[in-house]
Amino acid sequence: MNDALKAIFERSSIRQYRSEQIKDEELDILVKAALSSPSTRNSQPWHITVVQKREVQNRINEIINPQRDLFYGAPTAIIISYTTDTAENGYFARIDCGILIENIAIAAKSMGLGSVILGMSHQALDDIKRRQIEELLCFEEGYHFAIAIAVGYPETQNQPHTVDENKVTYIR
Amino acid sequence: MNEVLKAISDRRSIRGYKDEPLKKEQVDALVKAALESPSARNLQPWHFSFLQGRRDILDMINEAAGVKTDIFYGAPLVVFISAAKGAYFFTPIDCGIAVENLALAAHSMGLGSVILGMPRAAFETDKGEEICKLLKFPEDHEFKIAIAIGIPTTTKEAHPIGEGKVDFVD
Repeated sequence: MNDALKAIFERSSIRQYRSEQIKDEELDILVKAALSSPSTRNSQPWHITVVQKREVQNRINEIINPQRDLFYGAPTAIIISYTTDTAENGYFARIDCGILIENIAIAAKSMGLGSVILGMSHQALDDIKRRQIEELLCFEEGYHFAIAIAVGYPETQNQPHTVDENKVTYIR
Repeated sequence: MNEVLKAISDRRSIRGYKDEPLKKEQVDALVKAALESPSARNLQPWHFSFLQGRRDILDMINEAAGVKTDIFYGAPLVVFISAAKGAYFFTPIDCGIAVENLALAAHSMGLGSVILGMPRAAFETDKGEEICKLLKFPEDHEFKIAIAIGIPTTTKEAHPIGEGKVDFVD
């Protein structure tokens, strides 16, 4: 089994982290992996916002849900926003953001970092809270939250989730 | 740079393939890579239709999409990802996660791939329902994205990366 397959198969969602920040070189690699992601007609409809300040993460938690830490104590959060101002009216833009976030997750795993992909309670937020987050994170005009990922040095190793083989059909 | 980072960096959209089927171990690895993708709430909202050696179905999709060329570039395997119709915000994101796992897994095994949105046009015609049935999409599922995979005959330069797409908020 090659290393990429190993990273894909062994990646799991990590929800316990050391407080130590990841190295700058490690962050650079994650951002590079993200930016080299394929996208519809290479439109790159995303914007990447890196948060490495606890105060900002705390503020996000305050807005969304003060009862819990959405970031599971991870020292780095990478938040992806996207624009629907594309030729297909954004139809593929969220797919493109999924492509990007998985590149970050696999790149992280390959370096021994842990990660967990985060929806940040997006569906549960009202417009006011969404706008507060967008302002806090300085989202560009026309860009809205797509997905996020917390990254850090893992304290635990999860088992990968069980898979449903019924989700595959072969047509030959 | 480790091998995984190299795969992420070297992956290209390949638009030329050998007319040679994939080995069983390769298909098995691709299936595993797809199924083990993370998804919102671990809902695994996807269905993967692995289409091999069925030029007739691919030709039908090309024709319905109204294209004169082969949008699948002659690839011996095309994986169609479908998911339930409806508006759950994260479903397209989950499908993007899965398709990139397929692209990386393919590249790591020396295969090429290209992610395809163009088949969508075929599903919006009156042939759409028939194509869904031929691809064995579950009842309430619709096309989300596809990926063609095979032994590459071409390569290309990395795409240019847009400026100003990263911010640090401190």
